[in-house]
Amino acid sequence: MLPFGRTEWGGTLVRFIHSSDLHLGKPFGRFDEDVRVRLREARFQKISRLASEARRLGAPFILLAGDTFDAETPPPQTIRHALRAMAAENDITWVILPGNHDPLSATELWGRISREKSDNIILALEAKPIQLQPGAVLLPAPPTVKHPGRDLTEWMSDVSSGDAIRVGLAHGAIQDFSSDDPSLGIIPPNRADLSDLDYLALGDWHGQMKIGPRTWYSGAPEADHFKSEAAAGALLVEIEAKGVLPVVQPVHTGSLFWKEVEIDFRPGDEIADRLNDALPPPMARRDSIISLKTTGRLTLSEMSFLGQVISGIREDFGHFEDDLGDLDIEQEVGDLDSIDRAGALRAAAERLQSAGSDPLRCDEDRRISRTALGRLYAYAMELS
Amino acid sequence: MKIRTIELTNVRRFEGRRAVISDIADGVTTICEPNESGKSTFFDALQVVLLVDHKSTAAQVKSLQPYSKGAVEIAVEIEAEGRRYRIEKRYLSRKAASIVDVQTGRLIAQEGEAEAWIANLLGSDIEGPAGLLWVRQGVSGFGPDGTGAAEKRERDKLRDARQTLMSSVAGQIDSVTGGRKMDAIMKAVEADLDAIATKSGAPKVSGEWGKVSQRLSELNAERVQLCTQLAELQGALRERSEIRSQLRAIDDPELDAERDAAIATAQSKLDEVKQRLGAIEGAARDTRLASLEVDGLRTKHEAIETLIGRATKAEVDLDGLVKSAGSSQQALEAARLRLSDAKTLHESARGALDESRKAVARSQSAVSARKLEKEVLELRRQLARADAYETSLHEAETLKRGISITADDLAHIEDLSGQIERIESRLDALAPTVRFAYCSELRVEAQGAVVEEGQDLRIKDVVEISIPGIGIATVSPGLSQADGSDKARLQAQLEDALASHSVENLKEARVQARRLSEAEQSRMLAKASIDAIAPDGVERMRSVIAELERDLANAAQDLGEHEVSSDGDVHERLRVAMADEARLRLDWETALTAHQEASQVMAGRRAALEIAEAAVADARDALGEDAEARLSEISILLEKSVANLSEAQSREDELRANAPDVEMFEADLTRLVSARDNGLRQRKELLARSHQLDGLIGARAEDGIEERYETVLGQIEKAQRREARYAAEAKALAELRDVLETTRREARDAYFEPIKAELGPLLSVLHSDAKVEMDSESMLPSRLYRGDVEDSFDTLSGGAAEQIAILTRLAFARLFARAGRAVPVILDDALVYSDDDRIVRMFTALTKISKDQQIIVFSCRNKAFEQLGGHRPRISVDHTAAA
Repeated sequence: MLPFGRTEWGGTLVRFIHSSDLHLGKPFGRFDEDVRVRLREARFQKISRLASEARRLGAPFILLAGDTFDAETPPPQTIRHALRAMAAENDITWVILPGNHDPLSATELWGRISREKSDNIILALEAKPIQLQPGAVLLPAPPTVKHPGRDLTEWMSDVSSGDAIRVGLAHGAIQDFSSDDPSLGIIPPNRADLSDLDYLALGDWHGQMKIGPRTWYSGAPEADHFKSEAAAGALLVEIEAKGVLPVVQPVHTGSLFWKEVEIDFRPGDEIADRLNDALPPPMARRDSIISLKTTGRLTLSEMSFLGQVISGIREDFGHFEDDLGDLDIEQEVGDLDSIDRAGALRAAAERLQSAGSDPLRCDEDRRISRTALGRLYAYAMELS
Repeated sequence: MKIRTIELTNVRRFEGRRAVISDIADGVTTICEPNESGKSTFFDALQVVLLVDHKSTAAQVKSLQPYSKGAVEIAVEIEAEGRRYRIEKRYLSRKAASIVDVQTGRLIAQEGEAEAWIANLLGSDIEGPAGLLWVRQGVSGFGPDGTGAAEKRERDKLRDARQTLMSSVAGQIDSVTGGRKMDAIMKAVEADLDAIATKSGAPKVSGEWGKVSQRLSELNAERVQLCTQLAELQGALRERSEIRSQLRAIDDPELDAERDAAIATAQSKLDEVKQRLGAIEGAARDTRLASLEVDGLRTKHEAIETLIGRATKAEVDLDGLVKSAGSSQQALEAARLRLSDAKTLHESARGALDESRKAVARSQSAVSARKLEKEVLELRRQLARADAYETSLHEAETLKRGISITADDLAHIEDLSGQIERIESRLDALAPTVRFAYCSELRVEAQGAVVEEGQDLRIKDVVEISIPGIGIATVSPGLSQADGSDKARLQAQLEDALASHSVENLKEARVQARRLSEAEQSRMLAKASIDAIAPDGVERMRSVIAELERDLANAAQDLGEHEVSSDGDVHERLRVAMADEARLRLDWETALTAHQEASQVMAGRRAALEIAEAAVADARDALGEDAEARLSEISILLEKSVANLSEAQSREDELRANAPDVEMFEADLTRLVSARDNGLRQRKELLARSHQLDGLIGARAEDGIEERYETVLGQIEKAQRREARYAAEAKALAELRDVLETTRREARDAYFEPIKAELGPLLSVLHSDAKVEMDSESMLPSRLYRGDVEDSFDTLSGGAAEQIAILTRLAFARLFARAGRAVPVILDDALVYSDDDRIVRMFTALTKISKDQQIIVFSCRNKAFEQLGGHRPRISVDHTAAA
């Protein structure tokens, strides 16, 4: 590992951790209280995690490309804890850019941060060059308001920095030229080329994404939804010299694993095996936030068994939610026989089964009938 | 199986005897016997012989034993599968049982085998028919009532029998309706549903669903509140940002410097302009001073001229006033003389008027005196009349006092006299007549008077007739003693009445009475006249006259000294005097007014004269001695001053023509200063507002409003998911419950279809549109539907319940028959609650079903059951059959 800021031949080298969307203080209200605490704490722990990764990887800077805080007016405790944690990592220089969640208009927030921050924190609150180190300049584009409605990176083209490495730092959506809706994004994807940037560090997108060889979304260091398949993390960026393509390396930082699991069942499936295959291994389950959605068909007995298996593993996970509503019932005589071979109970089971697959009824009604049949089966099994 | 003959030996009332019912037919057999003839004994015995082992000593068997004890023997001949058998059993003593083929006489079975043969004939569940199909006396429902263990056992036994029968034709009810498993599932469904939902499907407040709904409501309320606070916070942030922009603009040092420089320039220009304005004001002051000097001299000049004019005018006015005062004095004197004359004339006229008025008064007094005198004379005349009437009154009263007889007394005397006259008339009419014929000269005398020959001597009273030479003959008229005594009595009363009034006879009494009446009339006339003449009494009248006479005397005395003129003269003189006095008084008043006016004019003239004299004196004092010299001197000075004023005015006008617009410079400076002050004030206000917003934002930031809002949104999402799950679960459970209820109801309906199929046609005999709902527990009708009317079986009338119970037994009997085990229906004194119409309909139902069903009816109501028809055997008792 080379010392900070020096190339083998003695030239300038800039190496930093590119991260964003920490969303400190995000409430996660849809979860139970214990899960909420874990999720919030996991995000807070990312400060020290990023610092340790930067230290490990020899990066003296951590660029936070917006949305460090989840709100414009987070509780003072949240701000204080974050600043203290960054101050504690005093061998690292933190560059904090406002985002759409914590824009410049959040004057209370940025005023407090300005007053209370430690010296190893640089606030990128103005569209003015900041010298990262000799030979490396940072061009920040802080969002003035939540939705500024203009390309804040445009000014980067107007600034000359000589031979210095130029690193852009911005927050917002990249303009999608394939979309008919220009409001989706306003930062041109070729901003790095347009403004002669060696690297454009972007925030806002919670998943890690490469826009171009010099333009990346770092993603959030800790996942917060089921959409992103990639592991949450940051980027180690190393720029050897002006004009040289940056070397970008993902750095894993996430501690909680969010996964939306969809299993398409068929009668005869090995229920438990399919579940285990789709879900994280037992040792990883405590740190997993799982949303299970099932489709396909199962017999009543298999559905009952599926319910039992889910009940058995539910508490393995940090959080487990399921939606079995789209799972159809496979008509099997044996299942109905288990309820009753004849008589009123059998007639009731057959009626519910028919209602549950009646194409003339709406999905919701069919789902209710299937649930009712499942309950009847469960009651019958309890009595058998 | 059909029963043909029943024989009882030594059973209850048939002690030591044999009782038989034979020739029991296929269809309806009615055994009508009076009460206490043993019908129920046959019913009980039949039940025992078919259902109770011959070795049994149960109470049911012992109840058949007569008081004398001994063996109870029961024999029944039945027909089954085309053959006739005789079942004989002996209970309690020398117990035995046997089955004999009647046609062949062959013993089929005995003892235990006989019991097995019977059981096989009736089926293992044969205990049922007795209750299922046989109606015991006094039982109106489906089984024994009561809460005792025996009754319950009996009811359970009957229910099992019905269930067995139904199972044989429709399967096991549990297997059809789901049985206990269905009950348990439905109970679980109900419990699970009840835990979260109300009957109407809404969230139950105490349940988890209700709690989630409540929580969701609370969260939404909190969201609204937080949303408001958040909007307030965001608004405050925006406003503060704008304020800070404005403050930055206000605090821009370059702008401050520009403002200050502009103010300084404006101030400098204004100072310069003010200096120029000072020179103009100096010129103006000079002009004003010159003008003041001119004005002063002119004033003095005018004052002297005015004083000279005023003195001249005062002297002229004084002369005129002196002349006017002289003529006014003369006019005043003339007015005073006219006033004195008018006053004298008026006083004279007033004296004449007084005299005229006194003459009129005297004339009026004389007229009054004459009138008074006439009045006194009239009163004296009336008084004389009153005195005369008083004399008449006293005389009448004196006369009245002398006469005591009244009209009533007279009537009494006249009545007595009338009665006496009537008696005397009668006596006179009846009096005998005596006539003498003398033969000599001698003559008889009656009552001292000679009675001549041929003279009729009427003997009205006892008459003594002196007959010369013979003596005296007392002759009596021969009247009745009563008339005599009455007359005497009346006579005495009459005499008493006359004597009491001091009169001799009726005539005198009548005279006295008339005199009394006349005296009373005179008295009343006198009294009325006195009252008319002197209502207040004669004495009062007399005193009034005396007073008037005194007044008259006084008037005469007053008039005695003066001559009294005629009334017309004095009034004419008075009218003339009054006219004179009025005219002269007017003259005097006119003169008085003229005098007063003249006096006022004179006074005014004297005052004006004094003022004019003072004015002349003042003018002369003010003017002094060298007025003309001074006036000339002032005129010269005035000309010089006017020239000075003209010169000063020219200078001022020249300066003013080039004067700057100071207001414009002042306005410019004011505007600049105001703009600076406004900026300072605005800055102060913005700072104050900014501090307010700092406080609000700080407070909201301390509260973590955004985080709380986001938290609540997340919690709402979570609560909505939970609520949706509970709602779906509630819907699923409700659908499951509904489907289970439906399928169970349909299953029950299907299960009871055979019995309902049999019962339906029978019910139609009673009600055209009647149908029943069966209870799966009791296996009996639980509800009766008649058209739109629904009744629980428990609430039916005794008659209806009895009829439904019997028809249900008939339906079960038909089911037995369809199961290959035809069993007779036996009714012991049934239909006791049914009215005439319904009993006939029941007979119709019985007859209808009797085509392929044996029915045996015991009844004591011979007449009522006549319409049932059918075979009617009697109980025959063989008294010699004692064993």
